[in-house]
Amino acid sequence: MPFESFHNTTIGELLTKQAGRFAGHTFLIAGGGRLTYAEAEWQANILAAGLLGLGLQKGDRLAIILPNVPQFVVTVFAAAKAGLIFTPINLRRHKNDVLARLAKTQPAAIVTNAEHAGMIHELRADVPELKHVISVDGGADTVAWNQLLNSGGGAPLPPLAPDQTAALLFTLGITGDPRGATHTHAALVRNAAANASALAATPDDVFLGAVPFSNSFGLTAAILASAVAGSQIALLPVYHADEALKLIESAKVTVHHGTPTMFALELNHPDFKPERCATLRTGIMSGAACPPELVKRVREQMRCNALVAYGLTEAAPGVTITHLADGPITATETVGRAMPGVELKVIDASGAALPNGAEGELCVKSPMMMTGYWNDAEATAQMMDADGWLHTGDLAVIDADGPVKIVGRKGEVINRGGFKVHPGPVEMVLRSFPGVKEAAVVGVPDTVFGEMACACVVRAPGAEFSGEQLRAFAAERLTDYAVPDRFVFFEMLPRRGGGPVQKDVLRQRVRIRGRVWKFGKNIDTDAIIPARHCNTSDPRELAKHCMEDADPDFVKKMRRGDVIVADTNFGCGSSREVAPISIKTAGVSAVIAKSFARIFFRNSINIGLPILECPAAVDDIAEGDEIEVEPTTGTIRNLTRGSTYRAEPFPDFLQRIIDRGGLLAYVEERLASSG
Amino acid sequence: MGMTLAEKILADHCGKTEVHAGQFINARVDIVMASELSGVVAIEEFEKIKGARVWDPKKVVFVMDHFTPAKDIKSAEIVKRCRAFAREHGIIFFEVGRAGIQHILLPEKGMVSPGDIIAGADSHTCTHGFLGAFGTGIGSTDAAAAMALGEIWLKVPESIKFVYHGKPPKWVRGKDLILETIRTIGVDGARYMAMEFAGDAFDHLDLSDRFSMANMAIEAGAKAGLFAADEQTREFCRKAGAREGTYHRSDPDAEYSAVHEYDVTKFEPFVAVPFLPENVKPVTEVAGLEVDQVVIGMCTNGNIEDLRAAAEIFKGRKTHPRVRTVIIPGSQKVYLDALHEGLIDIFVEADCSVSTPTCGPCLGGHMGVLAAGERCVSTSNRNFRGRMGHATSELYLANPYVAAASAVAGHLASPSEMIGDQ
Repeated sequence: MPFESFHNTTIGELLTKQAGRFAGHTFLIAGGGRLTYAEAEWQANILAAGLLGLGLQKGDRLAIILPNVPQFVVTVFAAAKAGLIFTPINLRRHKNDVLARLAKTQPAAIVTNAEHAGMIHELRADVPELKHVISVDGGADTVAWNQLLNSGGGAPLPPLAPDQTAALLFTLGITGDPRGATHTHAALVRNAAANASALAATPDDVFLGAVPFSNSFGLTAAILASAVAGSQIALLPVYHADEALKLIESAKVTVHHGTPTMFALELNHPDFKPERCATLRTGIMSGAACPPELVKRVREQMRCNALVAYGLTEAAPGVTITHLADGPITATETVGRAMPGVELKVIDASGAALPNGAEGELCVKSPMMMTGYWNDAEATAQMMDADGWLHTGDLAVIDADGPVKIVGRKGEVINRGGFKVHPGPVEMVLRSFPGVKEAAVVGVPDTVFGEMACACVVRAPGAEFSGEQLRAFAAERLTDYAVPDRFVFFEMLPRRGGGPVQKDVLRQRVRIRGRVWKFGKNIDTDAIIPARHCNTSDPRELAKHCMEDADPDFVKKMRRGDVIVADTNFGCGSSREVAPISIKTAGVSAVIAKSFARIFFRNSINIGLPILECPAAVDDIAEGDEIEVEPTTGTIRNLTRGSTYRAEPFPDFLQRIIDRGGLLAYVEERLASSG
Repeated sequence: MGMTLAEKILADHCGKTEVHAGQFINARVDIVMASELSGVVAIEEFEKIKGARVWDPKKVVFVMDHFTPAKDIKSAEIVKRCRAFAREHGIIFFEVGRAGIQHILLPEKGMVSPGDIIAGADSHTCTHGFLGAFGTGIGSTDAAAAMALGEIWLKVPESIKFVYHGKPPKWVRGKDLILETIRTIGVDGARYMAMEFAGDAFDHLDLSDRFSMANMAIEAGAKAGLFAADEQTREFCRKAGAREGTYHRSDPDAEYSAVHEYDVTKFEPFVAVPFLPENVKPVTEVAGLEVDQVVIGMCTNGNIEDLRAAAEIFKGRKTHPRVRTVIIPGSQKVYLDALHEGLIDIFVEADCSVSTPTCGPCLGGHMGVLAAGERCVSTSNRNFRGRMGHATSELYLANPYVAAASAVAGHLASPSEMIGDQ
């Protein structure tokens, strides 16, 4: 296999070797400028010494918050050479998300730009380890990146081994919490070599550097893989489809990496012409489920033999990839075969390995895997078992001859009367309907089928179509039982931190079935809190205990999906969100109340907890009844008594607040629309 | 169709000529207010809003009043957070030495005018209805949104009217009128409604009586408690240096869900016994119950008129040896006025402790938290289980005369029986 010499090397050595072999050859193309391998090596060495000269020490974290600019690439190599652990953070992240990542990794320095330096200074108090803010283009109280480059070096670079930690790459856990996947030099470079090998990349290739370098796809498959092959890489600081098309044309890009969305945006762009992409040879489509139709369009309209890859940040990221010589079915409908060195298996619910052709959870093991999540043994143990297998949470089938098909997410499979429906392929079909902006399919409880499929659809601005039209479209393309039973339209789908759709939240927006807890007017959270917690003056602590106080066993008794039916005074006077936050934490999915009364109710709406106003239901429903609630239609069914009630509808803007998961998102939208 | 006082104020703030009960509106607010307790959560929420800036720093007020002066490290940190935020965004910030309880402080500083909407992250924001302003309690998420937009969403409440006739007897104050009102309609009797108070009884009472009544509207579940602003209001606002404001009146054909009338000439001082503000009895019915503590002041009865009432009883008398009395003026100005008028001398000589302005014990925070089984007479507004301390402690809500008389007697006592009715 080509590039095997890079299977056990550090990131610094990679650049040093290539600077020796391709000294005057272009490495980075940015704006009108170019940087050769020798220049990049020289800059990385000086910067590494400059960073150590600031007092940074081997093992310190160095955060990078930059767009895809040459300084990003040079900083990665410099950090690696200095023995610093680099940790890139997506520059589109909100201040609080950035803080969460900085707090977790406690970097000693941050390399950023003037645009973000101000925000970093604001966060400094919460990142006590942070000593230096280094800016590539100035800004108050920053160290100039260029000055470090002119410092002339001096500090000797420490000896490094390939198995030492090189980077912390952030990924989101199931609940949206950031986790830093810890990678060694060897893992990242070897994974890059596997990518370069699959692409058959050469020094003649020009990679498109459009995927953010802050994620593992951009870092490994673009920066490091192009270096492994001695190729050039044309940088697109921030992605826009028209800019990407221009750069492909002007830099004569041959290797186009991108997410399926990027490829779709370019193909759908009014200025797209196949001849603009005439130089494209290959590239990797990854980062999200890849619709076969899109792969076909890329192959036919862009005339690009793009490979489809599957990976995870935890696995450096490449796990499987299609081959340049694959036939049309493998190339478009699978995620290819295991990369060299990667072991795969699928397991059933009990953890037993399944034979080829059977569907189960995909598990991965390879020398390119993370060593764990940074300072988070618990999260690591959830993801990796004692034998070193990484449990991906993705459901897959491995064909007898090797190619892997990803069929869905564990926990998302809908069991519709015994027939299994995977949301992924259904969602892909729905998304291909003109006018559908987003689609997510979730299982909701059903009395006849046990569970049925509900399509949650967001229309594109200006698009007008009905659920029936969408159903007819889906029926032509899907097995009958996979056609969603219901179509519900939303203005947006709930996401956390830019991550995937939160299907558990969505499921409860559509239909909740649970047991009733009934509270009368004597429950008063505001009054009872001080009695038990008069030693705390922190409202945030009170939130944790509030409902326990109302009923000491409340939190223990609640099951996810349960519903509170509240008589009038529930939460009387509570001027904070303690009560609603507490019941949301306890797992309550909805509240049915007699009246739209008091602060408790508005607070519930403000944090996105559906509340239904229905006096008749409150009077008729008893504690312990099983009920079914459809927040979007206001329908309440008492399954124990066989009665149905209709809640008062909310005006549109309140429904929007609930759909968005709370008032803050609504405010953001208002601020954005007012400029 | 005619509009109620509440409907007129709300219509005025959402660019409509008419709004009616049940309608949902986005209303412009004149003041967004928070304490340290609600403010710290509001700050966290505010900072989650991408691109948010305070819409108008002159209209956002943080008053540190619940656990201040900081009772522990946690409250000190919370106040510090609020202080830093206030400095960063240039909003109005009041704390120890320059502050008071928010509902007394803001009107006193001329920041509230008739016809305003005051959105406060404190449930007793309804107090501002004593000046004819629509004050209403909001949550911290609401406060964050209001700080960013200068708006809150509201459902226009129905209105319920309360008319009080006649001259109240000596020792009967606004506090007694509202306690009797809550007794008759119950703690959810005005659920999500605007309580509109009127009647000739107010010719014989002053603004501090209106203050206590509007303050306790939330105890009947109300969204707001409103008085139509009049000459008394105008005089108060003029002295405070407030803007002119808008003097709304309900239309004669405005629709009310109910009208309640009271003859206050027959009233006597009332006491709300544990554990709900609706458990109201004449003081004579509960007289004799031994008490351990008396607290006078805070927001409901923390105005200078309330302290004068208490001093009238304490003058020349002493707190019963078994009883602890805590006097809490509602603001620095009230404190200073009390000092100038010699009231503080009277209190100290009567063995009362005098505190800096704070919400303190009202919510079981500090400055007089109760031990198990203790009984307290308080001029505050809530007597829920455990409100001032241990879950088995008991709280009796009363006016300042009754509270002071009970302190002196060592048991719940009627001022009339102690002093007579002259």
